[in-house]
Parts: sequence; structure tokens; C-alpha cells
Amino acid sequence: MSVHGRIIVHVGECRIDVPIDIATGATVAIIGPNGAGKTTVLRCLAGLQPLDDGRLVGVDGVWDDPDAGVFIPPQHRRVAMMFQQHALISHLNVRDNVAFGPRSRGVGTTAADQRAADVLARVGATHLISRRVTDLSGGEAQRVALARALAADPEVLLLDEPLAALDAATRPAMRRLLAADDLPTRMIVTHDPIDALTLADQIMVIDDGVLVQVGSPRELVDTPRSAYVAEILGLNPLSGVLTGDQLLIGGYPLTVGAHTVADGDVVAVVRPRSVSLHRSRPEGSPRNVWSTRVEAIERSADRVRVRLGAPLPLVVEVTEGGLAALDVGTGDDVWASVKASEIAVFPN
Amino acid sequence: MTSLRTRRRRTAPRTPIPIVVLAVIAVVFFALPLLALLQRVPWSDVGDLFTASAPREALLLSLLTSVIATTCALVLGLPLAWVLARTQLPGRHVIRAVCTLTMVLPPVVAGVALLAALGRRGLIGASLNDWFGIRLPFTTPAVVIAQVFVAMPFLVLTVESALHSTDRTVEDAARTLGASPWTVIRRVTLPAVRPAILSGLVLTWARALGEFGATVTFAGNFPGTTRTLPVATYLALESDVDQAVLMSVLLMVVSFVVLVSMRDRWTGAIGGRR
Repeated sequence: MSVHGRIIVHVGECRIDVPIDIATGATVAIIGPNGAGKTTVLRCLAGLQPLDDGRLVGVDGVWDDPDAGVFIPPQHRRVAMMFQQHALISHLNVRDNVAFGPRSRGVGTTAADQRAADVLARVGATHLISRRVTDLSGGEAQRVALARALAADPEVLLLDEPLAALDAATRPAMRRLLAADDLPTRMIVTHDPIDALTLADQIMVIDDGVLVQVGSPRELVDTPRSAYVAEILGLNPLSGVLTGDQLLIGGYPLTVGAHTVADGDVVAVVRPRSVSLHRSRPEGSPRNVWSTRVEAIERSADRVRVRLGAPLPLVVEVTEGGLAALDVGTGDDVWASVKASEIAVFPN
Repeated sequence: MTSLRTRRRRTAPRTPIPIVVLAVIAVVFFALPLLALLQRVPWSDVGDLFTASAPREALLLSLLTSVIATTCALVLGLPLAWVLARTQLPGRHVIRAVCTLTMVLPPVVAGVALLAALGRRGLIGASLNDWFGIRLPFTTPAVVIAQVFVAMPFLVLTVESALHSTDRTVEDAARTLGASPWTVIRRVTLPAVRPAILSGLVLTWARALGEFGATVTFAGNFPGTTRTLPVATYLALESDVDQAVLMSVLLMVVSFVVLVSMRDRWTGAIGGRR
């Protein structure tokens, strides 16, 4: 267990009470609406916000325990936090920003500069090393901010909306960096379900200061415990291998629309509403069409979710009327179809 | 073609004439007395006047005391600005008002207040005298104290406003990267407010250099120990007008050179960076 405990803290009128259980090496996404307390959870883990109650235990011992009077300040926890607006030190150049962590922990100038160069190379930002921070573009600054956090050699990397400030052109590259296998334990705050589904192996859904549900992306999509979770995570993530516009998911081929993702392992995301169900094989139109079986039908509030079996484990959302017209029940055979353009792919 | 070009070149709308007229009057209002002063300088005797010991002594004393006063203001004013900007201390507004009151108070009143506190029979001055035999009034340290008293608020207010406008998440980031609170102050916060500190120092120094009322009240007028350039200038008006004019020009030139050379780089930051 890398970090565990329970965060209880009051911010203004809002009370935040969230259990924490992060395995070493895991990538945990915290998702929820604005003002839900996501960033506060990160600040508590970083030590920037002391707990009011509860207890946090890190790899190296108790971090925060108000009852016992224990509080380890940020500089003595092996965490690094990356902020939404990069928070680079504007009077230092890129090298000195990245070397700031090692220098602060007593590493000599030469060794710290070497470390900065190594980490910048790792995030593909070697060419920025002598640049002034104020001259960087948003994407470059975020890359440098990631390098700076990594240079501090943290056990836990805290990322607050790492993709939110980036434009569509620079987002894929950053997403690839965040998905790299050799990163430390990651905690990513995001409001974007696609980021959570594609980057994390554990998702915490937080609303109004409370943990609504926690689990793997698959678990949350398959068995959302509330309409809210179903609403924000109502997406189908599928792991597969991409070759051009052909996507192979567990041996089953799909055609995907225009994309800029390199061939190889990818995560594809299909929205439950973009899958159509039919009694018989649909005619015409260049779609992905396959025959399958209804595994389960779940109703929550005004929505109906139909879970499909092999070859593609998808959740499909239909209206009550649509389901009645279809006239199928659990165990029945159906035809499913989805447009190529409705399958979004992301590098894994 | 010509009309097109002129039309294109005029990017800003024409300034209304009343504004131009009033602005010109303001400039003349400032420039005229200063030019008049230059015109009164007895250029042929400048050499003699300057080698006379009185103005030189006063100038050196002024430079020495104003630099010491500015240093004191920095040492005390930075922590004060920090406390005002960064703590949740109850009654901060009252403390700020007390600590910056001398900026708007008539300097003579500031001098009287200093006498009441540090004078031989003053609140603290009596004890200083009885216990340690220290008498501050009418000494060179008294000059410095008077200057710090009236000039430090400029540094405090400038730096406090800059501390308010700095990006706190940068400091938070530095802390999570392993920086101790001192390291954060030294390597992140102070460099970020450096322009404000420099402009505050310039303002403080200029105010200390020109200090007259509080100095003459609390420190008096002893040649060589408390007779600063402004005091000497005022006195000279009664005995030797030429010397008064020369010393006035001296003060003016020193201040002008400092203001012009600092303006773009430093004082531009008074309005707050970012």
C-alpha cells in the first residue's frame, strides 16, 4: 500500500470526507464536477492543506494525523504536484526550474543540472533547456512542469487537471507522457471522463466532498452505482491494437474514423448512445455491424442500459420506447452497429 | 493616396483640446520653478561654493543618513510587509494604518511624536537616558530615525501590494518539490517581488533624502552631525541665497538622475506586476 487513510477537511462551507487507498505504481483518476473537492484532496496529499480530521499514511510513515499531532510538511513528503497552470518559477529558466527540486533537496548544482537534462530528455523537451519560462507555449510549459515534478523523484505524482489548459493539438502528446509505464504512482484530477478512462487503472468519483464510487474503469462503466456515475462515466473503454483505420479488439475488427494516433496499443472509447441495436442485420451504410446477445438490461431513472456480450462487451443506452420497439429481452440475439466516426481512439 | 495613408496612420483618436491645454499647464507648473532654480544658479561661483565646507558636509551627511535609513527600512519593512500580506493576523488593517500614518502626517508632527517617545523625558527616552545614558535627540542616529519613521511606509506599501499579487501556486509547487519555507522565500517569493522591492527602495531613499520637518524637530540643526542638505538649504536662505540655490540644485539633480535612471526598470513596477 503506497498511500492510504481518510481525508476529512473543511473548505469554506464544504466538508470533504474521502477515504484514500492508492496502491504503489497505480494510476488513480479523481473525477467529479467543479467544486467537488478534487483539488483539495490533492492538496491534502501534498501537505499543502492540513487535515481537520482523519489520517493519512504514506509510504514512509504517517503524513498527517491531527489527533496524534503529526503533520509532515510538503518538503518532507516524497510527492510532487503539477498544477493546472504549470506554476513554473518565472524568473528561472527551464533548466533551473527542473533542477529546483533536486537543488532544494541538497543535490549539488552539477548533479542537479544533469538530472534536469535527463528528465527533460525523457519528456522530449531537451530543446527547451535554456529557454526563459515566460517564452514557452502552454504545451511546452506543461511539459516542463511535468519534467520538474519528475526531477524531484517523487513516490507519488499529483497532477491537477494536467490536460485542461492544453489545446487539442498538444493534448495527445501530454496524454502519452502521462500514460508512460515508468512513471511513479500517479493521482490525476480531471473533469474529463475520457482522461479518467484512458489513463487510470482506478477511478475515484467525487461529488460534493464525498466519494461516490471507486473502482476500475471497467467496473464503473459496467456497474455504475448511481445515475451520476453512469452519467459522467457513461462511456465504453475498449483496449485494442490499431493499424491505420483498423482496430482489433480481442480479435474482433472495427473500422475507426479519422484520427492522429500512431499504430499500436490504444484505448478506444465508444459512447453508449452511439451504438444502435437492431432485430435483423441493418442494410447499407458503411458501419461496424455485428451480431451479439443481450446480457443484461438495467434501468436507472429515465435511462435504459443494455449490456452486450461477446464479441464486444459494450454498454448501450436506449430509451424506454426504443427498447419496446426493439422487443428484446435478456438472452436474446440482436444486431449492433456503430459508425466509424463514433469510435474515438487514444494512445495507451 | 495621401489621405488614405494619413487616415491609416492615425490609430488613436485625437486627444480633445481641453485635455491637451490642461496637461500642458500641469507640465509648465512643474517645470517652471525647477527651471527658475537653474536660472538662479551663480554659475561663475559654483566652484568656490562647492568647495566650501558647509554644502559638502551637508551633502555627505544626507547621503550617509539616507542610505542607512533605507537599509533600516528594508530590514524592518520587508518582514512587516510580509506579515501584512501573508498572515491572517487580526487587526491587520489597524496595524497597516498605524505603520503608514507618517506617510500622510505633517513631518513636523512626526518629529514631535519622536520627541515624545525618544526625547530625554520621553516614554522610552527617559529610561534610555537613566539606564544606559543614551540620548538620541539631536544626534546623527536621530536623523536616521526620523528618516526611517517617515520613509519606511513607501517600502512597506509597495512590497505588500506586490506580495498580494504574486501567484501563490508557484510557492506551493516549490514546497512540494522539497523546498523549505526559507528556500521558498529566498528562491521564489523574493525574486518574484524584486522589482517592487527595488522601486520601494528608491521611493524610500528619495523620501529620506528630502526629509526636513521631522529631522529638524527631532534631530535639530548641528553642522556635521544633524544638518542635512534640506536643513542646510533652508538655513542658507537667510544668510547666503547663492549657497541655498546651489544646494537646492544639488538635491534636485541627484533626485532627478535617480528617478530617470530607475523609472523604466523599477518604478514601473509600482502599479503591480502581472
